[in-house]
Amino acid sequence: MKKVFLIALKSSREQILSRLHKFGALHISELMEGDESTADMDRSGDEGKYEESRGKLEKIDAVISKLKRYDERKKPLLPIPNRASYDSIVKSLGSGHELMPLIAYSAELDSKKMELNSSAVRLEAAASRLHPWLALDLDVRNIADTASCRVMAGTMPAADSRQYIEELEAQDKLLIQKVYADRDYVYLFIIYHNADNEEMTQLLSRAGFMQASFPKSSGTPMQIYESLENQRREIQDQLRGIEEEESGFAEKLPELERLYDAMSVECDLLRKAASLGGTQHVFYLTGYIPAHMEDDLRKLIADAAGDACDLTISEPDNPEEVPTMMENNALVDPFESITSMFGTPQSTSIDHNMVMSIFYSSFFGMMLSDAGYGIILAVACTILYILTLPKGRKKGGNKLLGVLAISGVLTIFWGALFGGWLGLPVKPLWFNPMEEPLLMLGLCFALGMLHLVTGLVLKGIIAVKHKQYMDAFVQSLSWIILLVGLSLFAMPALVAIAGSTASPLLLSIGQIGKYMTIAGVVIILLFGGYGRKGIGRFTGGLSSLYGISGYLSDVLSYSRLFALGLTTSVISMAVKVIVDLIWGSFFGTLAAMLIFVGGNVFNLVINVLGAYVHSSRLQYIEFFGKFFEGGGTPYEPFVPKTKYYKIND
Amino acid sequence: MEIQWGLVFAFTGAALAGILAGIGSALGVSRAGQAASGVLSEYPERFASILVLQALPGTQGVYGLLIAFMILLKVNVFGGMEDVSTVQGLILLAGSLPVAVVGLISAVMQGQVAITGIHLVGKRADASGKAITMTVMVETYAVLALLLSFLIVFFGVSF
Repeated sequence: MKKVFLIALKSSREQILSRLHKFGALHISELMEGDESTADMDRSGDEGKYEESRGKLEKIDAVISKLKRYDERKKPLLPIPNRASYDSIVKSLGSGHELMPLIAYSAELDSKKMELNSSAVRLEAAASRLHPWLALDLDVRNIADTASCRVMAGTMPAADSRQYIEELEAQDKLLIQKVYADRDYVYLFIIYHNADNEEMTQLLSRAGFMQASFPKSSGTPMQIYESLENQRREIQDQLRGIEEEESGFAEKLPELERLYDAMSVECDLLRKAASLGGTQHVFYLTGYIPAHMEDDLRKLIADAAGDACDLTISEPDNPEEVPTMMENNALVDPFESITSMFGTPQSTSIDHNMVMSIFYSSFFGMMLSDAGYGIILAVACTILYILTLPKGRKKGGNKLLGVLAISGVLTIFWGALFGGWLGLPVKPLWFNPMEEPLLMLGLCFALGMLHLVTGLVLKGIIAVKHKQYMDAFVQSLSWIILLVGLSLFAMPALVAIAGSTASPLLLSIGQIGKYMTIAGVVIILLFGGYGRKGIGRFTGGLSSLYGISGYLSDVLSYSRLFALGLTTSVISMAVKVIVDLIWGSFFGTLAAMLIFVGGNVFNLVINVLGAYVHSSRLQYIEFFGKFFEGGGTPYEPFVPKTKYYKIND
Repeated sequence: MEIQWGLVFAFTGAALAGILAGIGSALGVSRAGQAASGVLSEYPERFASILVLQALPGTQGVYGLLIAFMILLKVNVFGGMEDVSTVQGLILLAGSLPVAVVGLISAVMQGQVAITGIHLVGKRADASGKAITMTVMVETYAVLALLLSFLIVFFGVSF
């Protein structure tokens, strides 16, 4: 990775940024906080342009989301993205301007819809308030006090209303008409003489009577109600009309999506431009470029700006700041996603992905442990992965699919070894873990030890790369000697537990192991605290040695390889047993086939999830724990980020 | 009528493994699902990673079923039941306990971590890998319990 410093005239900024965007390989560093050289810079013009284009982008997005409802295009069966070239997308910006009036009109329709909807709500509320009074055949203007009488309409809670009404009627001083009753209220029309006002008011309020108000129009409640309903129907018609208009716009969706992508490219360019440092006429940027692309970059800048710029490409002075780019062959490339989920390695470290991919897919295979599922995974995911590849490239497809495809192949391998073929009785090429669990556990622990030792080897390599030879010796080599020695030493004993007798070869290997273990312990005790003085040296050694217990729990962790493989086998067996039981009659055979398919799909899904998650966890905790240096900056080159079309270049 | 206590204990063991581990997973997954609904209401596009987090506490139920099934196979339920002595039945019951009890508790606890992991994904979309890793850490103990149950059931009795 080389450091890049470019300074050029603002007049060529647009050209340069656009070319860099298409080039897609330059990682542009963010301007540092508190970089005083640009504190006074007037960015308002640039920022204004960016805000404007972002506003447009949001409007386009709003229209697209709204029109999605009317989208009648056939959904493709597989999520294969549309492709286009960078230049063609950028060109769409020009033709896209014809769509802007449509977008503005659509926003108008939106606000009109909102208005209509709120009117409709108001009308509905008014109509429902009138609903109980429909039987009152009196112009609402007349529901008001006259010169000598009180005239009112109102509600009384339904409970006890009969009692109160009888009481009031017994007074024989008023006219009560029950207009309507529902579950909660009775609706009454009342007239009484002004002289009885005090008495009546008291009685009425005791009964819970509340006066109702009526709209300030003319006509009986029924007439008003009908006119409200008419208005509401009109509004619904208008709304329907608007919807029809909008559904007509849906045919413009492909153009709108293209315009969206074109606009977001422009938005990105403007945002980058506004974020760069410079003066009134000049701008500059710093960044990093992979070393092998240096010449391409030089050519590009020369094309875009000619002599009116100064480009310096040099070795980076601060290795910590250099972004980390992982580059591997097409088979290992998908596994970079496993690493990225954990964190970004330091750029000064080594690329562990190739080694990790072998372990990851093997562990996955051991945990899924069914060759039938392996075939399904391998075939399906490979096809899907190839479909998601950018045109003409071998790398860059959906990383998850790639991981599953390769792990699927390893699953076939381990499934065949252990005899797992969808629960069908096939002889294992090696042994059946359920019949020889101790051997299986031993295999798991051995592979686990191999994984851990590989981690230590990587640690040693990193230390040597940094010229920290003492670290490499004490932290890596000595532990490797100790652990390998312990494993060899333990082998005769383990064989004895399993019930067989150890061959002489095995016994001598055990002896070698014993001496290696002693050597390892001595080295660690002597050098474990090598940085410290006096007694610290020994206690340092002792505490380093204590780390052995950590290794014990690490190795035990690999028993999950057996446990998860067991899960797959037992569920397959359960499915098989059930299928065998009900096979026979017509319905039985039908049900059996359904159960076979359903049970295996369930088994596949659960165990793929488990294998994925546990394989990852083994890498993150046991493997990375030995050597991984995190905290790196990910390599994020200046590339177009589009939503609907995948850029082809 | 003489009660065959051996069979009683064996079947009780199988039942317990299924019941307790199943309860644990149901609790863990359902609580995680409630948190998931909350986060999805704000960020529907993060469904995939959130779904994975919700599903993680579900494995203990499967492990319980596994051991239950192993016990049933051992006792030869499908082929004409073996004569199970009382001691053998008790051993099978003991074998079901690790996965039953640890499955129950670890699934509920894993559900708690899954909930916080889902909230983490709600705050930071790129943290799903870390959330998943932290949730999976709890499962170590369920796996160890599964292994122990398996060893007891498989090797503890022979017919």
